[in-house]
This record gives sequence, C-alpha cells and structure tokens, in this order.
Amino acid sequence: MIGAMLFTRARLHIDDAIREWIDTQWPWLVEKLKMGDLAEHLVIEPTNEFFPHKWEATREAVENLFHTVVEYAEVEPSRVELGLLEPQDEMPPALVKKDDKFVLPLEISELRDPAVTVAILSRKLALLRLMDAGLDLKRDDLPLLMDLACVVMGLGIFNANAAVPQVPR
Amino acid sequence: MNWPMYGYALAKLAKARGEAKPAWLKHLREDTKLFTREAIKWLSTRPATAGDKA
Repeated sequence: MIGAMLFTRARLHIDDAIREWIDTQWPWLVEKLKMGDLAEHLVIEPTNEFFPHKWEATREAVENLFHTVVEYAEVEPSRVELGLLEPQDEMPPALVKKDDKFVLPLEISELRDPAVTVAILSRKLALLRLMDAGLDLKRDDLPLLMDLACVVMGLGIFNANAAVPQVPR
Repeated sequence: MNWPMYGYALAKLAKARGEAKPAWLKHLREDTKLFTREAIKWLSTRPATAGDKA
C-alpha cells in the first residue's frame, strides 16, 4: 500500500467516520487547551536542540527529561512530580492525585528509549490538561483524545513514532 | 491512534501552522511520514477551516 501511495493522487487512509471525529475534536481541543494560534507554539522534535540534557540511566537524567517535557506540555512544574516504579503486574494509572500535586507513575522498564518515555509522559500530561479543561473522563474516546491532544500540543511526533500500525489504542 | 490517524492529525497541525512542507516531518518514522505527506496533499485540495493558516 505504501509503495502505491508514491505514484497515485493524494488520498486519505482513514475512513470518513475517523476523519470526521478528528475534524470535530481538533477545534474543540484547540479551544479547551487554550492553544490559540498553533503557529505560535513549538513542534517538539527529537533533537539535542530540544533535549539538551545527556540521556542515561540515572535518576537525574530521567528527572531532567521529565521537567523538559513538562515545560513543553505547558504544565506548571509545581503541580506534577515523577513517580518511578518497579515493573508492575498491572499497568499503573496515568495520574495519581497526591495532596495538591499529580504524580505521573512511570515504570523503569519504560525508560529504555527516551523517545518512548517522552511519548508516555506527553500522554499523561495531555490527560492532565484535558482534566483541567473539564473533560468527561468517562468518554469512550478518551484514549484517542489523549493522543490527538499530544498532536495539538506539539508533542505528536513522539506519540506517532510510538504508535501501532492500524489498530487504534 | 494508529499511523494513518496520526498522519491526518499531523497534516492538520501543518495546515494550522501554514506549513506546506514542515521541516519536522523528517523526524517521523517512514510509514507515518508517508501518511502525513499524503494527508497534507489531500488537505491542500480542501477549503480552509477555522484556525488554518494555509
């Protein structure tokens, strides 16, 4: 299919229902996340320019990466903290309320690839911003909305590169 | 979302930013990059919507 795409007229590879869902949610997200003009925001790239701190398997490096992503997600740093966990039998929640902060639980097994770590953290921070916007957390499309919010927030490159081929998460 | 969905969403981001050939495309994995390029081309044939720059 990809080979054929190179020589044919442009077409979309999503069905109309999915396109309409994205078209409907896009302006809603831009408004609810108070993004304004998207041209005035950065699109975050996996480069040393955007991530100047050296990546290594140390607490300091992980914290540096965390604080960098929090800044790019435009979340107040004092509201969040990183919670590193040993691998769990069950997937930890995206966010855990702790006093006046939110802890972002992250299994240490998810630290092997810093780009994937950025994708995971971006999704958690997108959820926090959606909660701030008053999103109904019982929405059936919440997982897809979190992914789309990452794109609106300029962090979509990481999530797109970590995505699966066809089956929506 | 899957690769084609990301392709369309990223194309909408490019259009909202007025970018016909975004420099950041080079950082996408090849499959998603192709879906995004296709979607950018497709969107270029459609009327602009609220928030679009191009």
